[in-house]
Amino acid sequence: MSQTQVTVEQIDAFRWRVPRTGGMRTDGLIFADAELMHDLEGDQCIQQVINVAHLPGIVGPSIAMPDIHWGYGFPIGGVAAFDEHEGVVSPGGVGYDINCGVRLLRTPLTLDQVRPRLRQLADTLYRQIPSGVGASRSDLKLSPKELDQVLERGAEWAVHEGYGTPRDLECMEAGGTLPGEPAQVSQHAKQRGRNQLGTVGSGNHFVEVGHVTDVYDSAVATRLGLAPGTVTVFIHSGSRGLGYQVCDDYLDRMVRAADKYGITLPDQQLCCAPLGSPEAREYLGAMNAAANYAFANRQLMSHYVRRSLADVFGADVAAATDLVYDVCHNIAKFETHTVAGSPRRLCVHRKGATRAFPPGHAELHQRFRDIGQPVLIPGDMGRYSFVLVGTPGAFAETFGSTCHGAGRRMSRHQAKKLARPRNIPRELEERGILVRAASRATVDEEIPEAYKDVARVVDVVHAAGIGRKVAKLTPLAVVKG
Amino acid sequence: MTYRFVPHTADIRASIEAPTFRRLLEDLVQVLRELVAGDRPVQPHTARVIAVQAPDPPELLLALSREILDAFQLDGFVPARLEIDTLTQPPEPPSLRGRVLGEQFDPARHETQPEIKAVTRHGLVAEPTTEGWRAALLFDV
Repeated sequence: MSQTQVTVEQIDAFRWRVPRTGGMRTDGLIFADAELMHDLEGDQCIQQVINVAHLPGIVGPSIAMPDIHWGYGFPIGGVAAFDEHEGVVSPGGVGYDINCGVRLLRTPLTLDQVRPRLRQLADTLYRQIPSGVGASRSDLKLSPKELDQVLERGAEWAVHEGYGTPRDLECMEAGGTLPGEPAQVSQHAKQRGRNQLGTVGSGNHFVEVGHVTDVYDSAVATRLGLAPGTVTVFIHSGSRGLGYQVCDDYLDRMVRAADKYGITLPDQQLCCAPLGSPEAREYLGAMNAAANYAFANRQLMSHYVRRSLADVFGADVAAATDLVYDVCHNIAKFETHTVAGSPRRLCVHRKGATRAFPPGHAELHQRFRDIGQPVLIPGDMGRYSFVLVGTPGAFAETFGSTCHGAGRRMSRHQAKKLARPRNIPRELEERGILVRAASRATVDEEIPEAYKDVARVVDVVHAAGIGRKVAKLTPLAVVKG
Repeated sequence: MTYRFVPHTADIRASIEAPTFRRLLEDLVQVLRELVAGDRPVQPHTARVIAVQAPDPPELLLALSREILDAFQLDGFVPARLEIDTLTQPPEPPSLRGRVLGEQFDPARHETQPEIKAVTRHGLVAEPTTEGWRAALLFDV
């Protein structure tokens, strides 16, 4: 892992440039205010922005969002676009949890209706949606043929099987289906994925009941059904063990491919292959298949959220619970962007970043064409989350991307140490937030203090024009792994 | 104990120092035990045969970690310790044959930990030092 002398120049209140030096092929561009930049001292994420800038065929800067933190290979909160002819694809630029993402459902309920039965709802969600390490469903075992269908069709498979409505598909990035190739996914990966569909997993994944507390753009909030007091459900999860294994399998191949194609790497975890190579084509087929698994996973969890709402509040409430949107956080996709005045087809890597397409973009479903793509930014389990929409500024400056969450500021070890003498679920309950979790260790590592204040992160993207605030949501109950 | 966990913002970084390459691998299994079961004792009730080889020491650590994490994630097998029968070391391509002793994960006796998604190549080190061997690994959580 090479280390470069890090120089950072302030451009304006929310932008910082890391000038091109040494083997860098482009500048780094970090979105942050002075306080968020101060938080990055001692963190290796800026070095990772520099490392990404070394990759062949990178177009525009190596970008970091205000929730940036130290990852492996790419920083978490990193965006990089590569020319379709001269560029590369890197599994390390997508991550192990392929299409880790978030979706938001809005119920027809208000806080006053939910509060008296919140405990029952939290318990029902915890029972209906398995969480924790290696969580699996005993009521859904896929045959090899069915799993291939999931890998090929994504959320559309789930809706076809009765786990949701056609309207759901209109409210997902890429309609919930990417061109996946099940044949490129190893048997080992498929084995790991067979019983995990419809499970939330562990770490920072969650199912969270919340309610709308603030509205910044009432016209857009009304269109999205997010009136003040509306009760919502966030789901954060990804492609589970199947996706992790796809990444591992292809990292091994990409290490060899980088050597074969003479690509010098500042970090082995950035191993990659030229976009036109067989290695890249096969990885993209497998990555898209894993992304489809993640779309289907979140779609099934939405089904079990609706079933929980039906158990607690009645079938009519479940039927009137709509998907607001579903976005990917870890993905590489071909998109057309304007570069130096001309349209270019690029492979945009988002690693802990969210697509944020503006009003009028042809890829958005008609229902979002005039308001822009909904962008969902979860915070920590003790404070708040935000809904934004995509902007022309994001399309012009960040390849249509914005932040994805609060971003960690404290190591897991530090967080555990801080939480050890405390009872975090009781503390949160005293603040009106119920926690149901498979593991105390997970709750301790995910304490609110371990994260940056997501309001600060969102204020930066709003002020910089790469996202526009619509509403703030406050948690009521959280199911963790 | 020759291993420790080093602060990392999002994931888990482990550092190991050992007098020999053999001991480095044995201690790696202790790191993995702690990552999946916390600091509770794990009994060596059953044995799993293990055979891994790699082009260099860092890749051998990667391969051994993957085997053990796989056994936990697919079958709930928690490692207690590694018993090595044969070990080849640099300058030969390193390889290991032996057994991992352990038991089935029991939530009543072991401490459920956040899921380890993978062991990464970011900052992966396994190299001789003047006093023996050292290794560094980053696990994605």
